[in-house]
Amino acid sequence: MGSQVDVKTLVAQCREGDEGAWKDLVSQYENLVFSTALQTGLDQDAAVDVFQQVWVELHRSLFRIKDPQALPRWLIVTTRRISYRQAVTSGRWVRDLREDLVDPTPRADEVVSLLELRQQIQDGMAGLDPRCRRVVELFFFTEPPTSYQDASTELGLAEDSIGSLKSRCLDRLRKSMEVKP
Amino acid sequence: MSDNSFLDRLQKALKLSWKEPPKEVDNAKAKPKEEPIQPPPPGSSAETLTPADIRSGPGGKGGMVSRSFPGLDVTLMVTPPDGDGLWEVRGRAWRNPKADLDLTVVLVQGENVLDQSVVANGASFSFQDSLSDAWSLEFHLAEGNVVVLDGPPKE
Repeated sequence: MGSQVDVKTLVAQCREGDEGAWKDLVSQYENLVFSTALQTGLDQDAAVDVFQQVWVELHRSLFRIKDPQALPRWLIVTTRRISYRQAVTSGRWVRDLREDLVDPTPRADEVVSLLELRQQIQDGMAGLDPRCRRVVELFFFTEPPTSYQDASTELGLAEDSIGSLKSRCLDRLRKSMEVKP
Repeated sequence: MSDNSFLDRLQKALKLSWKEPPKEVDNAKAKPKEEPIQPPPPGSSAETLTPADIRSGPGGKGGMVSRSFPGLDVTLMVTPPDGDGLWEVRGRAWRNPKADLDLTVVLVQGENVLDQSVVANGASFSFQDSLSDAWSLEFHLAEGNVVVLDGPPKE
């Protein structure tokens, strides 16, 4: 993971036709879009189709997005809407209309909030130094979490220093994510 | 947010399945050739469809709508969803006075361009999508004018 450019800057550059900025924008949010499509229940092939359509729609909508900082949510809502359309038109899925999948201004939705948070985590991890990034991965990204003993071996640190390092790194991640109270 | 709340939310978010797309979709990183269309400028001609326009068809499903604007005549058939959540909007648009110039028809919902189609004068267009309220059709003429037809307000 490398550093991530501010989304407002990326959108502005994309509006000017910057091909490199477009590539960076897609790279930054590709996991979010693909994971959101899968989360709606589509299989991988269908999720791939949705993935392609979302970026086409984003490019067409570039000048319509009022708040580029809200792009992650725009992507989530758009992906869910296109996923629903994909499922219905391909006949894969027949069930009652789910309003939350088609409404472009979603109500509070726990899954949408968690997907947004997951993207913030990805962005925040990219802002950490490599050691803190590894510490967070060891304790929060692995299941079961790594033991302090194994972490001290991997990091080459005394075991009794791991606890405070873990706290510091978690705090840095939180700051890096710009979590608001 | 307290430390425990943050940790709790973090752990919930990390439980979500988070996958990279397969390499075969790397082509999405190539900037599309089609240029994004600017929103209509202030003062563009606009009208709003009524719920009666939509219900004016057989059985109250799907109405034929005709509208005239400066420079453009439009005929539409707007069919609301029939259990599958998908609206169908199809029609034709003619330059008035006649001109053999293409126009771009754009289906918009809020901040999303749902679909767009470049059509010759008098040619048909067709869109199908799951729409809630506040959708619009924009007709972008070659000389830069834009005509807007707003979908019916939510009942």
